[in-house]
Amino acid sequence: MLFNSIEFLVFLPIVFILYWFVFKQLKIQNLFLVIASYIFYGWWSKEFLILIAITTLLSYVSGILIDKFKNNKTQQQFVNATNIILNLAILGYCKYCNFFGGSFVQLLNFIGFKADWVTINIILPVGISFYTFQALSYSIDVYRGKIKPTRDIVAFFAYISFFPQLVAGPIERATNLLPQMLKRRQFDYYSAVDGCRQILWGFFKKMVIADNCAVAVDTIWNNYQSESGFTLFMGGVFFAFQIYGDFSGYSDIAIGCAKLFGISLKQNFNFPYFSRDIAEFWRRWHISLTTWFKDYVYIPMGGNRCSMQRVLFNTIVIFLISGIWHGANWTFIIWGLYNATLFIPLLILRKNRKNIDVVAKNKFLPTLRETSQILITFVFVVFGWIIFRAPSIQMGINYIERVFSNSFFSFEMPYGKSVAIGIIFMLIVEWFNRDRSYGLQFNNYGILKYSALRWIIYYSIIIATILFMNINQRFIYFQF
Amino acid sequence: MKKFILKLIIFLLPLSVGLAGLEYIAFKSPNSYRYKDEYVMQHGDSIKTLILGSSHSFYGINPNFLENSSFNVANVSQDLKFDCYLLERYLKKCPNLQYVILPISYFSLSSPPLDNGEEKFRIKFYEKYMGYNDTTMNIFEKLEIYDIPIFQEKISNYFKYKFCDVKDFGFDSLGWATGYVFSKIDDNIENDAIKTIKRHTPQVGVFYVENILSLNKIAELCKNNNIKLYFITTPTLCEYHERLNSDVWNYTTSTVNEVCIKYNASYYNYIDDDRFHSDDFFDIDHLCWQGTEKFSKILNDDIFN
Repeated sequence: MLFNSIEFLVFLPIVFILYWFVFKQLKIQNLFLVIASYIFYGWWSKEFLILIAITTLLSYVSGILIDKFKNNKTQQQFVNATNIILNLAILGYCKYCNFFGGSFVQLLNFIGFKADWVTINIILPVGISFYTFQALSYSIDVYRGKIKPTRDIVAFFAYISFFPQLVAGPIERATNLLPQMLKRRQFDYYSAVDGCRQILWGFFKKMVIADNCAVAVDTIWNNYQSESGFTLFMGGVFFAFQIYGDFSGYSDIAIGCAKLFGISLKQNFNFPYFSRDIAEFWRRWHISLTTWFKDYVYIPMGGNRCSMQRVLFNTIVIFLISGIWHGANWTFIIWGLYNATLFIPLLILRKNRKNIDVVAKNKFLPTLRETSQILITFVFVVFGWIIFRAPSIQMGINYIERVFSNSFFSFEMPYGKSVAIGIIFMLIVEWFNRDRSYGLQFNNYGILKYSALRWIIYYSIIIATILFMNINQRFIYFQF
Repeated sequence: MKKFILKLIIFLLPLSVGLAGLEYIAFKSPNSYRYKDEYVMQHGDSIKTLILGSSHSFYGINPNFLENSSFNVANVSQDLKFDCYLLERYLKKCPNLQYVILPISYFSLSSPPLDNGEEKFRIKFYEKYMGYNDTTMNIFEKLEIYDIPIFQEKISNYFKYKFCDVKDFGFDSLGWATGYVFSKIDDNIENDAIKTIKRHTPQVGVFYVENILSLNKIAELCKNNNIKLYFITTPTLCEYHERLNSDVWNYTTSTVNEVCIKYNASYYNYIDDDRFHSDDFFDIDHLCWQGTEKFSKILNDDIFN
């Protein structure tokens, strides 16, 4: 079920009312959440419900066994490793089977062995990367002793399948979400209102910004060989806002929905396009994934508590895995390595943690230096997104080559002029709330203490969303 | 909780009223389906020739150039099932009907019926404006707002009609579509042809029984009511007709010829008529104003003279 569908607009209020008014007892409420979440996921494909159930059971059983073998480290390691391998095997099969098979065939053909490959044509289950990582984080945290395993299987199923964040994150940690499933939720008026506001903002970013950018991006990419360099660069810019609006919009809707049910999810995007360097960008973009890799891959590899060579190696590995996580295409791998290339100089110069605070803190506008840092970082990010978006490496190279042609100075922008206005509006709103957790989270200060004015703003955004939305686009991150 | 729900209801109330208002406005918005149905209902006794079909006839046959009092009830993507439905609906209202012109396109028999295809949303226009009783769409799909781009366009058209005195919404008083003014043929014609043929050939070798049954039923209705039925295939550019799958096209034309023999109908095939050149076409398989005038006059001579 898509968030931007009439079915979801009917589904959400029904679930909300039943959750708070009918299924009040904790265990029943959790069971209801599981059923609702499986209906939500099964709306897309009933067949893949079995996969999410298997992943959930594997991790649940692993948690219990790891605790059972607490006096036997070897057995604990075996259980943990088995759980990781099995879950990653399912993920790998669904996501990468055709890719590796096809690439292997290409390699054989290249060295002179004629080979063929029957494409299995596997359909990628929606959200598999997200819920798999969420399940793995539980068993690993149990193994590390960070969290006690739960024997409440219903609560555990609710933790894995909680519908707002099931298919595109944020990837939650058991230490945050599971305790919330194990205790009674209290309805909080202000949290619910905040949730509604965040949902509204998420829909605006997704349906107005992302979906309209997608039209311009697709048009430009379909004709890239005949477009000017500047248009192609703008195609990269529009894609940057498409993926941001799409993904952060989804996260906002997910987090906002969770607030309606008395559940708090972690922030997933922290205004990444206001970053002053690439390291800051990666602390603000898809936070749940980057911290997952940091905690479960980077730190076990030694993190930054080893020699510089090892740190650099660890960093490259993380970016490589991050690229691979996104999908079965060489462009994602190149994108990961590209970001590693930008990150490493900061690491070597020990400037990767220079910009920790919010930009222009307590100031109205950034300084000239901060502005140039933001713009330069953004340009580098845009070129990364061009590689990310390209269907193949060759096309990506051709596209970027054309950006740097003389035609760049034509400054033509035949597409996306109207969505550019929406982007500017979004950036202004997010700039003024850059120290909050999402763009529309104003705290009733100044003239916004008048509810009439706030309601005018909400109505305006709703009307703008209805009038300018482009409903035919899917969430990009569903394919991950 | 009570405070939250109360405030939410108060917040959503004007929005719901507003959306309901927009839904009504979209319903009332001028469109070809409403106009054509109302015209036939009111002026049916003056109609002697009825033009059915899809966009090929909607854009390609101008009743102003046909001798007998003609009216065009074609619509974009209208399939044979709805051609049949409209003929049945309008027979009673058109006591003086003498001729029916039914275009046969390459995809007429091989395309899935409207309720199985991507343009399923058009069924609700037949239901809302032309009295069709649909059972395939759910209550949400029938809402105007369900198809946002069309909803937005309808709202815009309504306000143009009410406040800007705009009268032209893409069709003239005899139902002919006026949108394809000039030729848009360019160097990309080969690619356009390939894409169009691919879209018009969903599955080679698959022909839908519903389409064939509708074809026969239309012919039967005409015969039983002493109406002369003319099947016609509108002209196309050579880049299009040279790429047709011969099995699909041969089956379609032979089926039509069989129906002609059985029900005493006639078939005029202009698909590769060399009197038409690129200037006459809006795109690979639709005529522009110039081509429509030429074709309508040729059709008039062939059918009525």
